Amino acid sequence: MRNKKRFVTAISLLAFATVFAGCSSNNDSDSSASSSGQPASEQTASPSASEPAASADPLAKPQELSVAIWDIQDGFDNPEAKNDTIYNDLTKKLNITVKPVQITWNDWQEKEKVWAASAQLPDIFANAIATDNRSLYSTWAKQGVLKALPDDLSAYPNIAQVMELPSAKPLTVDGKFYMVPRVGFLDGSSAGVMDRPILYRKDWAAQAGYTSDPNSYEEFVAMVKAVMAQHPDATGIAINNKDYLLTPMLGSFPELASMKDAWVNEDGTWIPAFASAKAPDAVKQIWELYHNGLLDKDFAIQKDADGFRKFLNGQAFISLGGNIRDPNNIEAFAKANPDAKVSDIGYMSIWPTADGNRYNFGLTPYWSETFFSNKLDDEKFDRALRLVDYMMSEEYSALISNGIEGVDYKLEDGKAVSLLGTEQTLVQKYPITSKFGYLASWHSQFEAEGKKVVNANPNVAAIDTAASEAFNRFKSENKASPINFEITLMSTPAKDKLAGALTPNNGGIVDELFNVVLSKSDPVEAWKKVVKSYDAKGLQDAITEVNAEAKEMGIQ
Amino acid sequence: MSNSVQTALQHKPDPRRSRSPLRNEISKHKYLYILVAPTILFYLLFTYVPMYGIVLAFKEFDYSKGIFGSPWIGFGNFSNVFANPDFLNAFRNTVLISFGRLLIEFPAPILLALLLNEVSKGKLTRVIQTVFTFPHFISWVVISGILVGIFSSQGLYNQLLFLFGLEGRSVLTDGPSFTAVLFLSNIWKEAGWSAILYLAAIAGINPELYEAAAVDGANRFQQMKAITWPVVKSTAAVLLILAVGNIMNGGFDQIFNLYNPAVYKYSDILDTLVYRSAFQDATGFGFSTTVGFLKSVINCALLLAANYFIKTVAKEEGL
Repeated sequence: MRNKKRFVTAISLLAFATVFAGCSSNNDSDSSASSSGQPASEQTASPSASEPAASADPLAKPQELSVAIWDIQDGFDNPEAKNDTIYNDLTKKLNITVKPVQITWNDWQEKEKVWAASAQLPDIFANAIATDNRSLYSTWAKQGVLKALPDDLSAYPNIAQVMELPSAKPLTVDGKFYMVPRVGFLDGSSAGVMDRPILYRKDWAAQAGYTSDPNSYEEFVAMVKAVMAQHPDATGIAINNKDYLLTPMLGSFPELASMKDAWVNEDGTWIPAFASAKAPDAVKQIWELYHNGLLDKDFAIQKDADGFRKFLNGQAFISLGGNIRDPNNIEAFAKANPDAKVSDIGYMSIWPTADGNRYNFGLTPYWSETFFSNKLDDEKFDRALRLVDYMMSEEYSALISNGIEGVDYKLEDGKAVSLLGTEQTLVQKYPITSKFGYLASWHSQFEAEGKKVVNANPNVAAIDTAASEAFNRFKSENKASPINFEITLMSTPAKDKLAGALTPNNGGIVDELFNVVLSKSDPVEAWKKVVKSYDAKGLQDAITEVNAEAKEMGIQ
Repeated sequence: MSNSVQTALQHKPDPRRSRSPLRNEISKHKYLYILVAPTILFYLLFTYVPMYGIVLAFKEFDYSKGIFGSPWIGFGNFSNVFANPDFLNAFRNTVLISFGRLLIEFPAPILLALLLNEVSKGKLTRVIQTVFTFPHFISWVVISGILVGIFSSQGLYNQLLFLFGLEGRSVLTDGPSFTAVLFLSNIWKEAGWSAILYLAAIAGINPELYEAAAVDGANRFQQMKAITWPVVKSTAAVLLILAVGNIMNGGFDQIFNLYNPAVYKYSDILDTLVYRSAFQDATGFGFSTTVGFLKSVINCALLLAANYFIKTVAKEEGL
């Protein structure tokens, strides 16, 4: 009996110990956190406080920076990670070590919001709140979550250049910037040119008698109908994800293609584009595409990229959006369509609007931003800014796009020629850089200027050429959507509140469009009802506030 | 022994008698309590302690001050919640879907258990039970993919309609059809698993009762009605109370993975609203905590009401 009691006591104590052990790890890390509020991991990497704070060489002191960018951990976990020379050179150059903090495309917003609430944000992280959730951006800035950029950005010339963009200037909170836009182009007019690609099968169009871009919505409809008549099992128009459903609006009411954010001036009053008198007719065109059987019947129930996969598999004539530049997708297309060539994939130009112009997508030349945790001390912040600034430079764009000169490519007559085998890719060779390298920029400008290496893989090279040709054509022939950034990016309490109802990916204004398009009732009346329903979500208050502010700022 | 000493001894309080009944109980079964202590601790740490966050329903969350330091705003969050049309829609949907689940889904495992009990014992019963239980272990992410495949324009469902010369239907974008899919898919996924509890109750029935009933000439249906059902009924009563107490949880995993813009009007429930307001909208933690708080209060009230009803009106054992 006594032994039994001892045994039971021992088991119970063991169970207790297990529970406490499970709880103890957090306590340990908390207790070892520095008085400055930095996580323990940062403390061990940071030099002791007794060291001299400043040095003549701003890079003399090693720094560890925690960084959250999509799938960064995957790059670090790759068996080839330690051989990533571009990353290793970068860390040596800036005397840093990088602590990866994983976020994925499925959880980034949720994770970072929770980290912000629990003071666990990484030092540098990507998010999309400055434009998409202005209210949260202001809150994080005002409540000490984010670090403000210094007023003097002369030490960081690339950052300084981006912050001068008209699309960035309005994003101050109490006169300070709290983010750096993650642009693809330092030149604002190039941004948006390829943001809403209309990918199509040129070979199918040619078979149906169409060898040039449509000159009107009616011609576009006729083209899709003609192709579908020849390919009755195929979908006419597939969409890559929700926002791409708005692409055809570039041919009717270009500002409405940014319906979550864009504001337009109508009869002297600034109003959101979705509330414009021109919006219902633009909505009606998309409704017609669906009800005439041209738009993918499953567009509303598909997950992201399902529609694009139909295109890759030869089951759709057009894909609105989709990352055709990804070598894996190019190979998937080649494999699924043995009778077609990769060069049969074309970039269609949007048809002209009533004013005779063709318009490229236009909003901000970035959709996300780089942020810095307010826990960074000045020295560490300086290093973080130097890192971001360098990663925006042309030198780094060349490394990301072409690899190392003399190793991965050579210059012949001013052209970069690949030295890699057809099966070898920069992504395989530099796994960390392939994820981490896009922290500060998409590096699109480098490619747009024709500096990207000619890929050793002929299929990838063919798509690169088509994209480059389309970029140059659309940039020279089309106009940017007329967006007034001062108004569109203005922050007022009612406007921010309205944005909170418009922008969510689930339940926002784009979902209202989905509903109207799917509905059998008159789309014009249905859209008017949608607009009316936003009165209860602060539409009229937002219009009043924005116009009062615009008047004060002297904006016509 | 002198009288005074005797008196003193008589009046000396017995330490065991002076203990409260609870302390006596714990002292008597201390080893059992020690064994259960880790579980109690687990619930305290991970269920009760986090409840302090509920104060956010009465505060405006400040990232720099945390939950305790954030300023109190009285019932400000409640005003925002009630003024938000999305809340009213989500509330209505939650109630409708949950009552639908009670009416349509709740009886399914009971029927399944009763039917399984009628299958002659042996391998067949085990195979059938395994087949019905297996879907419980498939996540809604996977099931939603399967359902989208089945109900897409070129999916199995529409192919069957075409085969019979009928017009194709977009089931997942039509509100009422979508709701039917919610109920049916949940029955398919969970009925087998939920039936285990009823089967366990049925397993406790003395087989001699069935033999005696058979001798008395009772057929299978009469045996089920007179012997099996009274046993199943008590289990069903307890599970019904729990189901009613869970009524404001409309089934987040299932709906979140299955819904699409066309059916938000019919399927946006309080849980999806809380998720959206906490992580996507600008409405924030105060709003979502308030919705969650309201949900819990209603659930608790319904649980108590159902328990009272079962005990006093239906004269069954409650909680």
